[in-house]
Amino acid sequence: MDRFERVFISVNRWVLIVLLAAMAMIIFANVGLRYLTSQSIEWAEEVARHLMIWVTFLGAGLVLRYGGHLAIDNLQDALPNKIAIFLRAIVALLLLGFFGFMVWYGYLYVQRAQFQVTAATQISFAYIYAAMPVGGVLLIVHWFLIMRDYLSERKFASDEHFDSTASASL
Amino acid sequence: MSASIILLLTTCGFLAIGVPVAFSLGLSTLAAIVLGTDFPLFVLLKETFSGIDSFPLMAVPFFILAAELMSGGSLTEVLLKFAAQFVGHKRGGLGYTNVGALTFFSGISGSALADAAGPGSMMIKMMDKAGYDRSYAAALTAATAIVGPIIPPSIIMIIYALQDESVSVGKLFVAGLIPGVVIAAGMCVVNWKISMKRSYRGVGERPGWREMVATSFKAIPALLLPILILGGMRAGWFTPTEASVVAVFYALVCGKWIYRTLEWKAVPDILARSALLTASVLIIIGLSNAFAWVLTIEGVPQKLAEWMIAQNFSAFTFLIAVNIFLLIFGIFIEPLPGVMVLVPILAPVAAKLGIDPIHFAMIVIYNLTLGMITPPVGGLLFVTSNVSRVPLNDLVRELKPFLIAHGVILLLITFIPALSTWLPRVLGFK
Repeated sequence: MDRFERVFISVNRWVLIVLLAAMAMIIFANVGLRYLTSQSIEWAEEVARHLMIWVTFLGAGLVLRYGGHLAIDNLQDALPNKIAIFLRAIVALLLLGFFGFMVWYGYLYVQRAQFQVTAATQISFAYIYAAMPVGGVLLIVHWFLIMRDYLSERKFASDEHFDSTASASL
Repeated sequence: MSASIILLLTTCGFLAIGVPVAFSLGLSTLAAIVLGTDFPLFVLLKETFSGIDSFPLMAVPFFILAAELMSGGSLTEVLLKFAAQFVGHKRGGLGYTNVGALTFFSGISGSALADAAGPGSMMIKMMDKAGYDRSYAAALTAATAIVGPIIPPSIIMIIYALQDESVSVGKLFVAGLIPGVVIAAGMCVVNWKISMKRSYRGVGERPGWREMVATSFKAIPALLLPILILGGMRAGWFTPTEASVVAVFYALVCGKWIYRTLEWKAVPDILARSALLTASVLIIIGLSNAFAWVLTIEGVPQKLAEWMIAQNFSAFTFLIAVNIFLLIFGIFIEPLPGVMVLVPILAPVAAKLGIDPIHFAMIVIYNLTLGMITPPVGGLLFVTSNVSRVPLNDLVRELKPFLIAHGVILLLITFIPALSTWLPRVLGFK
């Protein structure tokens, strides 16, 4: 793994850690305060919801890297290797197309929404909707980093802390 | 061509060639909006965001995090010992221990995969050492892990309650308790039969009562978690989402100060893993919300519902048809997108036919979860095969008697509504 890849992954990972920890602490503080002082934090629910949106889109790229987006591979496995590689090339292009759509339309959507503000915190919706184009860019970078192994043998990056088979199917 | 037909055809195509489920839903929604409607593409983004932007949905990341924090430490071992002391010395004892440990662990985790990957993988190793066939141990684990989403907390139940407004999370959680115990009992019966046939021996003696008390005492904090969640919701102390965040901090306190196996330096890893699991679940929720929107603008759920009601099905025929349909559907589709797409269509019909929404929810959830162990495609099969290093074919061969048992239990749950509706009523859940 080269330097860029290492730093990129580590930053992506730490951002997720901080966002999820913040979500949990905000909501817990809110419940605690309500019982101790019978007052609650007005913005708690809204901020936590918006953090969750960011976790979703910033996490999607890393999930892709570890092969955690569940797919049905039976057809690829049943076909001769050459045709399977061809199918994977189509999958790769389709995904790039969709990620590109997320970036481009996500950006337009942010521009459209910039003058609307959220109910409790009165910040521009642009800061929330930006999660989609930013997440799209991350997805594209992660996809290019693993694409070669994916195309040749459907191999994803491994991670000792994240079992890819355990995601998305409950 | 109508947008819904484009939607369904393209989804099947994308799924077949191996596009991940989440992006198959997204791409086909994109195709359907462009080719089949006059709506601007922004609607896909709008619906995706509104699918994720939900406070009740936040219980999902928090329950994932709580289970990860709890299972990080020696808690799994504590639960294994607790289950083993009652049955370990009997014939087939480790099999019963496996069922027991997974069932107790279900009270902490909300997913079948967490059960199989955590206590399940430990039990498979122990059973293998004690002379059980490894593939049998793996099959028992996969079949029993189904209780994960049936016994509260349950991630799929949280999502179900978002799709059907007549069902509350608290009521659904409690409704799962009896079916969960019935499933565990069913797996024990299979284990009894097979242990007799293959004479799997028990391990050790029954421990003395002094030791049993000590072991049970240690297991109390873990066993209390589901009671805390359900009790707190029943008493009106907190909403499901708040209950889930209370569970997070309860798990933290247990791991750090009671079991003392959780180290601060492990917490970032746990958070990162939970965030990734969250992202993989929520991206499907968001995009399938957009997918389902395409169906609604053409009135597909209403039309299907009207058609089904016009057939004059009795509740009995309807339930049989739903079971067959869901079992076939579940072979290919995971529970999560299944609930997102099918519940808005099926639940109103069931309600019109006079089926209790809680009862119907239990049927749908059990059915779709069973799809995770029906070959050839099943998340639970892959995970169990992975952690046990038992080839998929051997696992599937050993799974047959368990699938038959699940079939029988499915019929029981389908035709005895009281199994699901009695407990929430008695305990006064709304």
